[in-house]
Amino acid sequence: MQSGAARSLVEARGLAKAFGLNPVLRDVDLDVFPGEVVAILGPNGAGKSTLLRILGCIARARKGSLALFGTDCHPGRPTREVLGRIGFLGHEPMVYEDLTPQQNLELFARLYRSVRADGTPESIARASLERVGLAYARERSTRALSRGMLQRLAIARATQHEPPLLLLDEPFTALDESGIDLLSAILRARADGGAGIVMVTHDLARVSELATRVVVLVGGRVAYDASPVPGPGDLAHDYRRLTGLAV
Amino acid sequence: MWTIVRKDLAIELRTGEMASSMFLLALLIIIVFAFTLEPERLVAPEFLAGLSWTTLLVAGTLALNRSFVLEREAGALTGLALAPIDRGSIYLGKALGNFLLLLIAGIVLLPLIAILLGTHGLSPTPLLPVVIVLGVGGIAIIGTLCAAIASRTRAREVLLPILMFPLLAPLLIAATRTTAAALVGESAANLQSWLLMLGGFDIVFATAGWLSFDFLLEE
Repeated sequence: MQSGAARSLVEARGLAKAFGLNPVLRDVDLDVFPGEVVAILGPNGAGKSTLLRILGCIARARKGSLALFGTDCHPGRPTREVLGRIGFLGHEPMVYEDLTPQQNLELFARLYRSVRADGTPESIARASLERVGLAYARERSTRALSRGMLQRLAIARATQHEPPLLLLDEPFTALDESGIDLLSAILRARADGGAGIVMVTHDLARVSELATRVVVLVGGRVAYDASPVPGPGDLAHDYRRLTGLAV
Repeated sequence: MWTIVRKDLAIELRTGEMASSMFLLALLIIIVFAFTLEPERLVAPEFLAGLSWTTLLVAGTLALNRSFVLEREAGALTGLALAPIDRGSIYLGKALGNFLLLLIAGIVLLPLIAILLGTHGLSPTPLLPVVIVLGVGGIAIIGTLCAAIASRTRAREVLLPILMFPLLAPLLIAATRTTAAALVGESAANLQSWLLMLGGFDIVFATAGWLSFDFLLEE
């Protein structure tokens, strides 16, 4: 975590969530500062994706408070200004399979017009597709894209409005080596530009390469919070000690 | 709101799924009635009006269901919910897109019903298009809200008509009565109270949908 008076992008206190009678998150505190890349690790069912969805204002916590960019979002509701500053990449691509990649990104460029208006929706979409290496599939049906291509499209959707906070759930899933390198470069550039990044991942090599801080969730609680990030070997050892599992 | 309408129309133009399924089902219903009932009963204005609205409602249910299935596929609705726009405008955009589709269906189906079942003794007033717009508007407004609720469940195909039909009953009665009266050339003064009811119904439910949609998008 950064020291000093840097204003936090995320300030979560005592977040708790349950599905029915099953608690998923318990008393989670998390701060994210500009330029930070926070990797969230944990076994299946530890509450990683739920935490990310609460931070993205998609799900609501049962208890606790959440402020994004200094604005209270829970209790209370996120403002449009706050929503426009979040880029969210989830398990699903969040695009329309019956539109082309170009049409999908034009749609989202129009929806984020209040945030980014430095070009036409067509030109913003075109540039985004080129950035993720999908320019050649611009007019194909999204339904016909492979899983990896769909993930690239989802990355373009989540990042094309240049959000200062990126929330990424297993972003390297389905990507080939060139896709992984591309995403790593995008994330590094965003963090260097002052964006805060929170990513859920099981990829220790990427955590060591990209993250400035690592948080491990076990049973819905923060069991480990380290910055700087230990090397892959030490991190794997600590993870095994905390969870009894290999990453 | 217009971005959502434009998106829905673009999808329909690419796939034609909703229009084709609506049209085929409506055609089937009309043909069954045309070949099974006695000719003198078919041309009664009350029957023509009732058949028209029932056909539009049943066929429209298919389209309304599909309109939110495509939002749930691949999590697209979550993508919309994350955008820095008024969430109520997503509802209004969806309702307007459905309205346009249902209106086109109505414009195609009503002449078809008239051709297949006959138009003896009918002298429609110029108010008939107003009745159609208000009635179709009501189906789209309530249907979109119910489809959004039903789409959150696994039994969405079953739940949508169960939610929607009771809410639409007063509107359908008003629309059928007004259409029957308009088909035989009754004066505007006689239709005024029914038209006000249809318009009021549309405004109340459109406002309710706009205000409640934010909560419908939440997990």
